[in-house]
Amino acid sequence: MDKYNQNIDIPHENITKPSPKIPTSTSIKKTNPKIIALIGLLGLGLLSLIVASIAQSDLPNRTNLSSSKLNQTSVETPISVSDNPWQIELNSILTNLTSEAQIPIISVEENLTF
Amino acid sequence: MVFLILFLLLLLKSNFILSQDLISQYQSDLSYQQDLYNQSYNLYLQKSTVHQQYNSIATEKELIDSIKETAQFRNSLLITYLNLISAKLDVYKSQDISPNTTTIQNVLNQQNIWLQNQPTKITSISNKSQLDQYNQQFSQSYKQIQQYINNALIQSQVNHQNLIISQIKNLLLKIKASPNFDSQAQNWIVEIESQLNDSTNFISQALLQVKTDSLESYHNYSDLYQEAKPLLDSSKQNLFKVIENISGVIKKFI
Repeated sequence: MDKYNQNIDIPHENITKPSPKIPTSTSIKKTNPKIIALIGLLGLGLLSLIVASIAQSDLPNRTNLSSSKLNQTSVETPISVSDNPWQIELNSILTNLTSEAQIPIISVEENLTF
Repeated sequence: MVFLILFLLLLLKSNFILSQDLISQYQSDLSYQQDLYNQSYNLYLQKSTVHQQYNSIATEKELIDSIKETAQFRNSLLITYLNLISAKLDVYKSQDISPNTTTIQNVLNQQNIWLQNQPTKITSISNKSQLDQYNQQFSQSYKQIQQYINNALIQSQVNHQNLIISQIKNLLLKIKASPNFDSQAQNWIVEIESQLNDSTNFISQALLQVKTDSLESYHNYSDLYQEAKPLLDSSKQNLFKVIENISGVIKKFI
């Protein structure tokens, strides 16, 4: 009995109490998981947009490359007709021809009598 | 020397912009004056009906006042119209190697001065006999005004289309100088030049309707423009085809 009592009779100071859980990081606890998910989704969206734009900007080059492989004679990137200085000059002439407003025709009563 | 050329180019460009502004101003003035004249003319028609119905001294006076007012608005409308026409002729005047444009402008300016002197004469009209006398004077001047308005309508379009033809010819010269210009392209250009000549022929025919000679042999001057108009329209349509064909040459060969 004494044997057991010795074990029980532990000095009070030596008993280690479980320490209360102190939050290590207050910000994690405050951030709403929904907001984190939203930011994540936005990030993914932005990333996919960047990837898509890179892929699109690369597309004409790849098309030109494939066409140059098909048609070995054309290696250079073809110049757009609309960029041709003569086509630009021709468009300007066409604008001159179409935009000219003609003199309106008016008529008045010649004989204002009774 | 370079600065002088640049200065002259800027001066020409600024003159063109100024004349365009002037044309816009005259166009809005013309629309305003046309409204005033129409309102006054409608009132004159009403007064005329009333006078025919009652034939009194009071209705006669009202009718004379209404005629005088309408004559003043008619005068202002014609002055604005002649200003617009003269400004429009100025824009492409350099394309006319004949003296036609200058002659038309001179006559229209003389008529403009005549019109500017009319308000005092109109104000002094006080009875039917003075009114009849004034109407005779106006009819004589108005015949010449009509003749030269029709001349101006034709000449203005001719000058504009001549400018387009000249610009097209300049472009064709540049295309011909291209290293890619081969015999096939040469054939296309020959066809285009032939089409361009068609436009020149239409314009020459339209110019036959510009009458700067005596007035006696013509009565209805608006007919002259009506005869010239289909020729000018054909020339313009032809120029559209020429431009389309040149575009084809640029796409295929250049």
